[in-house]
Amino acid sequence: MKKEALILAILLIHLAVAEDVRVYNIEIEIFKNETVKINQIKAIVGKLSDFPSLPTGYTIQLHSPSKTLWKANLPVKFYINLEGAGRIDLEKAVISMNIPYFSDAKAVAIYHGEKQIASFELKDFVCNKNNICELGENAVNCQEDCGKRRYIYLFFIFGILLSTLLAYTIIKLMSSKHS
Amino acid sequence: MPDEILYLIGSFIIGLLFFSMAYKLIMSSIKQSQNEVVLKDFENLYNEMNSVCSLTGNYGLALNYEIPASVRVIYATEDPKDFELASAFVDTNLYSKGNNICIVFKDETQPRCKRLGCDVAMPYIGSLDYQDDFQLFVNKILGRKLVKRYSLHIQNYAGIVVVTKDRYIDLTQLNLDIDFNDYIILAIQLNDEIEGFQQKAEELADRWKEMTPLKDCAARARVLKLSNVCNVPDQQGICNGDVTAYYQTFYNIMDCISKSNYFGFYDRVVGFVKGDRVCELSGARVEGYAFGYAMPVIVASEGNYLEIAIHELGHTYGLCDEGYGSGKDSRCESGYSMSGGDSCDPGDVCCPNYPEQNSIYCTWDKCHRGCSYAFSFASSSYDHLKKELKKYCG
Repeated sequence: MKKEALILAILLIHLAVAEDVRVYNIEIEIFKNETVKINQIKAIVGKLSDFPSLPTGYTIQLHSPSKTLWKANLPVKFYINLEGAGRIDLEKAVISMNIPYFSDAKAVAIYHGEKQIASFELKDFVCNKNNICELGENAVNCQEDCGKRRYIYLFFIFGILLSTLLAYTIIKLMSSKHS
Repeated sequence: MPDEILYLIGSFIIGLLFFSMAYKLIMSSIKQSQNEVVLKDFENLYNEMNSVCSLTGNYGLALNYEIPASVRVIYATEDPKDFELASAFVDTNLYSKGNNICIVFKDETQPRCKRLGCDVAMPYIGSLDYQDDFQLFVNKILGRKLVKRYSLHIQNYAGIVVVTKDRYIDLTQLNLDIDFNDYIILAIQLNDEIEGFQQKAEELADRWKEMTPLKDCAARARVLKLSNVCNVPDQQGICNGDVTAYYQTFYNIMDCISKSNYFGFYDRVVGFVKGDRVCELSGARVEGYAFGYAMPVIVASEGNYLEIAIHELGHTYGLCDEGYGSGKDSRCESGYSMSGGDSCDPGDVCCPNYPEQNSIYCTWDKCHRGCSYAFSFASSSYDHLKKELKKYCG
């Protein structure tokens, strides 16, 4: 009993302090002409990046099928700052950042001001369809790898419920015949 | 007649004994051969873990692993004798930790353990009794193989092998060397080995903590060092206006980090360049540069590395140069916005700081703003850093 209480306590503490440390590492290029190129999106375990606390004109948003889950300013700068020696203008800004993981995140969108300049579905980058539900994959962004097992369990649960109902009906019928 | 009955009963008892002995013998031989298969799979898992031990980079492998009903638990431990509690943790979200990987069969009282080349953190995997184990129970009523299937993902995180069995990962309970609340600077040598690299990197982390609001809280500022030299394009190319060299420097640094064990674990990356300048532009010495506000990477020359790196690190938190590279801008709270280079005009992004006395951002008062230099963050810069760094202070 003591051991069980200890285990329960540990489990409760675990649930209380649980923190998701999965992030999506995104490497993108944003061009002055408002085109966006995505070089990479992959799920890793790591720290969330810093995002500018002051507006830069560009923002990134994470969307679920029904709402905006997260939003941040993007570190976009179209020049090389060589301190007092001068500056060199650039056509594109390269950005590598770790954005948060949400189990219901479906798409990432990039905005310049109010205008959406790019949007891409996470599944196109993180779902590798190898039948193993891996880091960063979930039922929302990778049905192929993460969705099946749940349906099998649902099938069994419904099967058992149906059988129970059938047996109960037969017993009821038989007992009513006897009486 | 009664004798015959007695014989018959005696024969029956002896026959029963024979039968049970033979049955036990056959069953134990079947079980032994089954266990051999299980142990072979366990050996494979051990080999995979050991191979990931020697991997670098935030990479790993995924595998499907089958555990028969005869296995009570597979776990990692420092102390191979301690397995009683391990079986109670099967299929919870808890992780076991240690440099031994052990397997316990249900009909055995001692674990069989193998020592790994590095520490491993893994969930407790195994099978419970049929009535408690849904997966086994379903397999049993369907007449399927009595095994549990796990999708394991084995990765090397900063020298520790982490095994996950499903979509949820909780590293907070793992005693990783890296604490997510630490402020972590990753130091890299660019193109050449830097003399006293370790010491310079340590000194930088200490000084950064000492000069910033991190000093007022319990946060640890730590430095991780990449021992391998990272190759980037000749930095003079950047001063010559070769933008490809600039992009390639960034990509090469990111590539070097992604091949290390620290990808994703740092807050800022400092690339050290040998000598007293990164490059030269029209006779002016460029001693360092940052890739921008909230971009984690800076490049600093070795010569005056403390002042240069700390100055550039501040830029990554949005701080502007005060004597040049910014201009008066009434739209901004500080009254200044950033334009970069040696310009005295305003730019697109507001500066959090303004020209002050004794400021690390007034290296040259080109725009005659009345600021002066000191190796310290002046009040407006310091206040901004307080906001930016507060997440490390709880």
